[in-house]
Amino acid sequence: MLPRMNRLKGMVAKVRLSFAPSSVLPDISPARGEIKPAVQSALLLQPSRLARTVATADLPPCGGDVRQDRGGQRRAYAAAIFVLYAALPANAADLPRVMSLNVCTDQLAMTLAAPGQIVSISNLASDPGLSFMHEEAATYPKNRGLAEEVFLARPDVVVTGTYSLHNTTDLLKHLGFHVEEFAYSQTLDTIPSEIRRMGEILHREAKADEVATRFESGLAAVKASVCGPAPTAIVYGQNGITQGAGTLGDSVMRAAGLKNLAAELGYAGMVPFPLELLIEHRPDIVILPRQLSTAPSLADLTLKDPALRALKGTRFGHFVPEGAWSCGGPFVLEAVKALAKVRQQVSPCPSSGAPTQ
Amino acid sequence: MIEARNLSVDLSSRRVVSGISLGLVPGTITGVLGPNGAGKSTLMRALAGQIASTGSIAVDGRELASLSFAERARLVAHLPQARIISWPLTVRDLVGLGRMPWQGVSRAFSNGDRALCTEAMEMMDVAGLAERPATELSGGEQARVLAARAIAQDTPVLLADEPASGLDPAHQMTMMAGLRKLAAKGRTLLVSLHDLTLAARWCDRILLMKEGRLVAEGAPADVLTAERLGEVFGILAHIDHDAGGMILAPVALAGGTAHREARP
Amino acid sequence: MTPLRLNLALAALTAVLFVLSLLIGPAHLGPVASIRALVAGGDEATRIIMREIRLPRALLGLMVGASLGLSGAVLQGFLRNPLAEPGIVGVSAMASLGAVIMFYSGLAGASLYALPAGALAGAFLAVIVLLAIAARHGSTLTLILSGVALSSLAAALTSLALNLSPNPFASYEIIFWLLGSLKDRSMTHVAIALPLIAAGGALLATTGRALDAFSLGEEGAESLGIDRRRTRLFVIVGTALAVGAGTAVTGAISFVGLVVPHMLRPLTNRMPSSLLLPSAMGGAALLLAADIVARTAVRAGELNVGVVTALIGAPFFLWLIVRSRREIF
Repeated sequence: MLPRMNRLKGMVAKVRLSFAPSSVLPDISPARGEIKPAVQSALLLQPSRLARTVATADLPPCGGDVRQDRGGQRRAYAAAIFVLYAALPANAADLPRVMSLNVCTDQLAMTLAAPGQIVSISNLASDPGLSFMHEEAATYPKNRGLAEEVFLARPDVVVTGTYSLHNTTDLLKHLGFHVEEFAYSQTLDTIPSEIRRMGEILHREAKADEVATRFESGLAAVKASVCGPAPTAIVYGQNGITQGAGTLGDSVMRAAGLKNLAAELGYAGMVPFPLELLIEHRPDIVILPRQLSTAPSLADLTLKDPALRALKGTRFGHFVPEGAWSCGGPFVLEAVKALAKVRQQVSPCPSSGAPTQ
Repeated sequence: MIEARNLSVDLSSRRVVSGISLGLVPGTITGVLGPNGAGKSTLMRALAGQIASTGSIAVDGRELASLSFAERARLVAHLPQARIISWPLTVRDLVGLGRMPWQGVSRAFSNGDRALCTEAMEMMDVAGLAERPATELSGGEQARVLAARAIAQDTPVLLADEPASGLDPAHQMTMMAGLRKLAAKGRTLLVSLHDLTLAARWCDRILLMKEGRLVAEGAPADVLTAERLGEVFGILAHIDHDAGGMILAPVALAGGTAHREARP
Repeated sequence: MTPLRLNLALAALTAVLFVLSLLIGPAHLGPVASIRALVAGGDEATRIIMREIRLPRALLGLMVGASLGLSGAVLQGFLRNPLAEPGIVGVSAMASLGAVIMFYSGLAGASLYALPAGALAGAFLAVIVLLAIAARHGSTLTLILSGVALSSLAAALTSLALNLSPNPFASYEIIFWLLGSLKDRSMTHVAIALPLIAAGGALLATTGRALDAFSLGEEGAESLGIDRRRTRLFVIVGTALAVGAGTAVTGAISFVGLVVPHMLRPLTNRMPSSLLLPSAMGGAALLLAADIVARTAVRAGELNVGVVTALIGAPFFLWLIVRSRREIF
């Protein structure tokens, strides 16, 4: 821990040398006429440039779970050091005030935060297509993921995804904000640890442990109920994007007792899956995404392809509750349960009674 | 036989041809002379039915306006002044285009079609170039090939717009001799020219135009007087005669006393 | 080469590529089983793959390729310009724009049938603008510059229209509209495009005689009894129908109409009319071949077929410009 802390100290010190001290940052305004050109460009020009890139940076690379962030490595965790240097005002309840810029961290924060602890969450949190907790999200202030908004709100900690707003993230870090990045939860296995990590950031460890434990036991119960031969299933999203091996969707399908056709055929990650192969292998279940918008797109039309619909004996449906597996969070259990129910209908357990709830 | 009565043409609301009446006789070559912008080309295009005009035009007693495009093309051939050859067609294929108005949908060439094309090529001294791509020929050769196309169209009336310009002296003669042969076959020819001697010696009649109007009409010797050449072209010409006809050589710009003094 | 031999050779080539197109795909079916399933049915999966996935794709390659080759040959003949082509002169891009506006605005619901209406309108507009500018001041440079302007404007407006769509997938569909694709087209697409392409192709095919006459310029053509206005109308409507309908279902595919007439012209007597049928077949062959390359060139997924035709066509285009630069400037 020590070498890391030293490195961070050095970094923050450098920031203070080349720019204004982070403690006075929010007070700088062009009207005072005291700002050096470098600072000016960092404060005034950058955000406007970011505002443009943000609009596209947060869009999907492709396929089903669009607009969410993906992949990446966890950064050094050193909130205490930051507070020392930043000297930002402390929260009345002595809990760090958090601002979330990403739809996945939004939901983890909402799950664990104490009342008043959340400064704002991203506006995507209230999009029912992406956010399982879109109803809860209605009660929180929203941000658009802009660095300017963070400056104005002065949160103790900013939580966001690894890739979604990396320009904003870099800028915020550069200017001394405490930013915590969350990698896109790749599988069910990483969810409990992500919950606990968010608990630490929010100083809500007990609550996090409770939520994570409940998730783990719920998952174990579903897994225990799996029986019989596993039906084949595949996610066939807009433009034929599937959830291959290593994705959250793949781990959810396996936990629910389904064989993921895409993974079986060697497809990994979120990749396009040829329609021909889908027809050739005739999976028992085709999981279709919900439309993200009522506005037309060719991508949505791929789901209505006559060839797909010509498959007899295949069950087509959304099956998974909206937004339930777009992000890693305790609610992914709902996705597992929903698919387990479909599996039970397609391939009922030989014993009597429904093993899942 | 082509007759026009009170023919006027407006281009972009400017009167380019103004109230011209003429009657061209089969078996003759009529030359149209006049300075640049006198309306010669416009007159020809109007007579070919290509641009809107007022007044009336009749070919062999039939109103031009009442004819279909194809019927018109079987009566009147027009050799445009602009020499356009867009693709490297062989000379034979290019001249063969002249047969288009006479061919059905299949555009098959009859022996008669081929004979007419060969005759037209020989008349214009381009038969030896028959298999060459027309785009690779010299300017003068192209002019003769295009004229052969119009001749191959085998129409009672041929309107040739400056067919001899840009040709070397020998081929100017070839061109005019070819047109004379057509006239001898009973065709009606209207030919615009800039070479006064060529016009005087090869044409039966001359139409002299200036600013869209017909200034004079008649036999070359009657029309091409030194006075008229001064009026219409603004030039001083030396006029002579030999056994074959007139020889006209422009020698100076007309103007002031020099004009009067130099008069023969 | 005699016209008959040339046409037979091109027909054979097109047929081979059509069959090859039917036999290529990620599902390993085997040639005999594939053709049997296509003709006689058979097990469900093979039948669906052949009849609902591969057949429409091959048919569209054939139809759209033919329409592009034919309209390229007609435009070149009519404008007396070897660089004219629906893609280069902006007709395809404008057709895309029309389809995009019609479809993404939701004017006709999220229906495929809305696409051709918009595409035809865009293509009409483009051809009319183009002929108004380029046919009047007929230099090659004017034509190319008008095409560049029209294409750029259409591409920009297409991007704008797609970015304005609230559907997050829409902005990713820019690439489809600008660099077309035959991927996962269905028989519905064929049904939408076929009648329009057939009508446009028929109109274009009747212009052969007039195009020959146009070799002598407009006055020369009129002298040969050609109705210039009617020819112009047929070229406009025919090109708009053929290119518009194709673009509506496959996106803009460029350069087919440029490359094909050029490669085939030396094999004919160079009369525009003798280039029409060969260019239609050659266009079909080229697009089918390009689509086969698009499917097999990269292991993961596939390329947009417009990328392949542009990779072939753009260098060719440059070479043509270099070769004929004196003529252009």
